Amino acid sequence: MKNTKIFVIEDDLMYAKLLEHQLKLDPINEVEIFTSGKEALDNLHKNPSIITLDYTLPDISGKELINGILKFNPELPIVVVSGQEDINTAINLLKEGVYDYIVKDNEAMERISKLIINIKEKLALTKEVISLRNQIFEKYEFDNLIGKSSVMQKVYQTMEKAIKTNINVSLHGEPGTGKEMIAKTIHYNSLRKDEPFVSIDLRAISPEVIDKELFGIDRRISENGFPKIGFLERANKGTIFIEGFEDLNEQLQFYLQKILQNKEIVRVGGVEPIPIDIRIIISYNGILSELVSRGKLKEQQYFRTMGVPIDIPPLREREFDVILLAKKFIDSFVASNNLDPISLNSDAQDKLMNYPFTGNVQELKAVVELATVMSSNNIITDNDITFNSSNNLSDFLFEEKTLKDYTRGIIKHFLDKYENNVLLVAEKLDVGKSTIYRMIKNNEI
Amino acid sequence: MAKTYNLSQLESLADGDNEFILEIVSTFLEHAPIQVQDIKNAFDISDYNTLGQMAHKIKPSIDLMGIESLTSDIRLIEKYGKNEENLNKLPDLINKLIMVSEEVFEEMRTNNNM
Repeated sequence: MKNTKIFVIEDDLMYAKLLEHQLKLDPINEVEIFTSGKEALDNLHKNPSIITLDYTLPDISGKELINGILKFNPELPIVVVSGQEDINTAINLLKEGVYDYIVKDNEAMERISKLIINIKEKLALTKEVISLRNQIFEKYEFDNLIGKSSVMQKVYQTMEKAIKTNINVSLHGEPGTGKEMIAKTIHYNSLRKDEPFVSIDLRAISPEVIDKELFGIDRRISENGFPKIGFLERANKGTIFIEGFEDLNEQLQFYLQKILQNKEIVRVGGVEPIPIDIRIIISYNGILSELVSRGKLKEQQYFRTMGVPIDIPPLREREFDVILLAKKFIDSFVASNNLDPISLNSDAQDKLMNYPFTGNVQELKAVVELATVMSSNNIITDNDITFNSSNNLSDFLFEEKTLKDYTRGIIKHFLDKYENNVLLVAEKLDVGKSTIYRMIKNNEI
Repeated sequence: MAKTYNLSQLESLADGDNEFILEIVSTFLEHAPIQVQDIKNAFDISDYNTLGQMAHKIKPSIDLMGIESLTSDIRLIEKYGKNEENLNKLPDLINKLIMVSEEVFEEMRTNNNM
């Protein structure tokens, strides 16, 4: 299959044929010869991947031709193959945007073959990067956020406001509520989407080195003599997502505030300010204003970093979103494991809806993936769903039963524990033995 | 008598493809005489810039065809023409270019039955 179209623009037909022969040694190259610059410009709509050209053509100047090509496609690699041996010519051509320059000497053919291989490798890499970027953009498209609950609609509305501006954002939510997903969605839908998204979890970094990780290290004090680029600098022009923000000490809060204020950074041990333009999205546990009152956060810093506050609700408050998310996780799991479609029956849905999911979306994902594996006949039933929460009391209380149901549950638990010894259970729970007997008689337990 | 040209570089590039060698030689014989004539014409009317450009154009073909007796001269013609310098040396250089070229063309045609 031919997949690299190369235009050879050369008025010396003999040399053009030589180039064509050389380039066609690689069978995936498709070569088209043009003996005039204007003819080549008229054919750019055929979308060549690479162009080689002689700088001195009879109908158009080399500069004009190069400008015309780059105007059509600024990324198109142009290799000038010319008899001009002057080094200044080569330098000027490179400045004009030419990929490389080859002199028509004895080694020209070998050099051009190697160069074309290099260009193709670079093009393939660029294509791969673009493809991956597009996958990221698709993954974080706003429409991909799952959740129709009223509480999430409020989150989306605030996110949309944040996306349209460069304002900082502070995310608050229980672990597992998807703060990073929200941060990435804001970034990849904002004007900064083509710039880096850098994530740092301060809780995972030793307090002694947080400054160096955030601000970088100047070469004067670095161990290997090379500067170390910090997380903030890496996020330049893009977004930095800082988790565990409350763990930043007062001094670092002050530095960070200065960076936001002056839009420049000084690496640890350095003196030269480096211009920086970042959006900060912070995530934290606890209420930001409480962190201020407890002295964990300076008030000035609070107002500067808070930006747009977004409270991400826990899953238990997200109504039917539990099922929407569960179905999404099942579909993804099925797709990535090449399984037949699997559905969730109504008992299983009830069981999921009635569970508190203290580990939030992350826990739901783990639970439904396990249930998918355990299911039979492509249907997940309530029996396939197992919860492994570490907080049993919390789970029990979050089931939102009536007091009567809770009472029945507690008595049954103790009867099981004390091998149906009603007198002992009545004594332990300080209730009348007749109450327990009556419940047994009425099949309530 | 030694050949006036040497196709070893072309043969190396062709990697045994004789048909390709013949095609290149044929293209050379079709265009190079015109290019040499254009150089002479430019010289006759003292259009040194065109002279330099034409010399620049034919230079890679002379190199590829291994016409060693002209490889330095064609560069001098290009340089003198473009810079309009040493103009008094151009008549001899151009005469030599014409004579040697004719010999090369003739020998190539004979050797390749063209």
